[in-house]
Amino acid sequence: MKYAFRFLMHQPFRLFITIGGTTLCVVLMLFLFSIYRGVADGSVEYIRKSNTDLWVLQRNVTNILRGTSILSTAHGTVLETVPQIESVSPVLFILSTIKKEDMSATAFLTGFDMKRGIGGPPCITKGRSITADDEIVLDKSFALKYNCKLGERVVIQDDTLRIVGLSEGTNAFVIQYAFVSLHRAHTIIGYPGLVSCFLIKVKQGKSIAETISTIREEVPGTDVYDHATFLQNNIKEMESGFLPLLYTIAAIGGVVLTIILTLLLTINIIERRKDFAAMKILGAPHGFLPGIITWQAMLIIIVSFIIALVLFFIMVEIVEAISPEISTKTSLTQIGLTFILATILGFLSALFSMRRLRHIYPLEVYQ
Amino acid sequence: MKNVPVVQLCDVSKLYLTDGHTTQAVRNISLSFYSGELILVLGPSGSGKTTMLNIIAGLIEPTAGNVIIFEKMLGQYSDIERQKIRAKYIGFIFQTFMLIDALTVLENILLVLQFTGTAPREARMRALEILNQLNIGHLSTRYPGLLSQGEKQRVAIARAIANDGMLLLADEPTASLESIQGFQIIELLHLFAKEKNKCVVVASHDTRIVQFADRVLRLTDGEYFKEDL
Repeated sequence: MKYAFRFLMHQPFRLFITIGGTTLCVVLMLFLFSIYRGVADGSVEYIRKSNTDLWVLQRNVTNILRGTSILSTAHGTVLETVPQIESVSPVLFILSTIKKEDMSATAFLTGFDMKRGIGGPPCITKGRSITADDEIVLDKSFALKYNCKLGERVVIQDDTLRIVGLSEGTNAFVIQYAFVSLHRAHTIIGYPGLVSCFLIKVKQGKSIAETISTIREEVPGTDVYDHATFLQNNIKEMESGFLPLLYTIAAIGGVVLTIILTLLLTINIIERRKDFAAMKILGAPHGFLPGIITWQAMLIIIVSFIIALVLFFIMVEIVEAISPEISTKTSLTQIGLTFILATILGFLSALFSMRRLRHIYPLEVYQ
Repeated sequence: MKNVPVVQLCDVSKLYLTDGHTTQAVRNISLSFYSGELILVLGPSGSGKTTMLNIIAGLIEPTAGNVIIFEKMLGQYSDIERQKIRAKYIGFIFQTFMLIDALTVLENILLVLQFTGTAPREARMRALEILNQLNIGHLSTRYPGLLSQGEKQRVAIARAIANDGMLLLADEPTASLESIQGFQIIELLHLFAKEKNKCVVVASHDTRIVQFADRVLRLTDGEYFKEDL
């Protein structure tokens, strides 16, 4: 390791540039993974914390993130007659424009039954949930971005609503949830008899599978999912739309990191080929020279990763301050996995560069 | 004193094939090298001196003939064994010194001691001892780039003798030095051969250093004639 360090330090400017490049690649990877985690959690947190046993939607609709489900309130009346069901909570999702003075932004407006509270905000961070028709709960990052404060009023169509609470876990990156009463949502959409889905609580001791089967028989034109399946459907939907993009960018970051590192290590080998040739003559053991290259790669990765980690946390603060809707989530596991990934890429770079070592002949010292 | 030779060349020839032409670098050489003597291989550029040193070191295979090193035919050693022999029993001095400029003088010597498997603490003590013996102890923390030519060659010698090997091969050790420095270096090698009972083979075109050699082997176009002093 000492020799690897010395060889690297002999070209400080080149080392600086390489560490800079690899650091940025690691920052990019850390940032994309944390965005993914943030979006993945934010997108399905509402579903995860919905405190319901079953989701009933229009037939052929498997999720609420990228599916449109339209059901009649009459379906709810039928559902209430199913003996295993304890409660039926209708929810209506609308993409609607919220205005405040000069600001105008779209939110995923969620109308829910205020009395039961099911289908409402999963976590209130400031204020309270709605208790009246002229109240609204906004997503925290939405409120931050558009400078909406508790007690202020926003306008949806012709209705003025007072902000009474801010919620968390309701930021789906491209859109944020806002919560109003079901009655208000009906007024906004203009069709009082419509809902998107029903959230069902099954009576204690009753079988979920049996209840699903009964609903399928009693309420035609609907699909029923237990909570876990519905959550999984939404995660799958979110991942299929979002993950490939993130993974592609992260993969590009990884490739760039490997190229930068391979380039530096290869240049170092070419520049030091006479030194390496001399070491071969002097009896360097077989693993010695590859060991130097591997240690060089590892030293660069470790230093870059430490710098990247510091930069990453600073960058997250800045980005979230500028664009609150970009929610990131970082865990130790995530950081650990990124480090392992960077280490693997470092090894690959060392391996690619080592091929050069085989073409160094001891007698080159005489050239 | 001259008992078992350190290295024996038996009818050794080396042919190089370049661009369809064959060049005879070394022709039918039979020689024995013993410990305690300094052998000067004298000849002009291209006479095959370096090729001969490289054959002795096992770095290149002869086209014909046999090389016996440490009582065993060179061909019987595996690549790993040859590498170990070079690390433990052979010291090298190059015309251009070949010191590693990214490492300090001390580290250059520690490097070869690491190749021999010497424990770090012991290696450090030995390296400092050799540097002091050669009166360059004060240079241990300096980088080779900051040394004079003479100092560099002394460091190269220190590196070559660090492994306390039986055989020391020096290729044009005085070529990059001024006369006085050159004499000092050869004197040092001569002393090393005598005091430590080592076999020192010096390849050079410099006739001024003949006086320090126990034997002079004149090489012309790959052939030699022996001249005992």
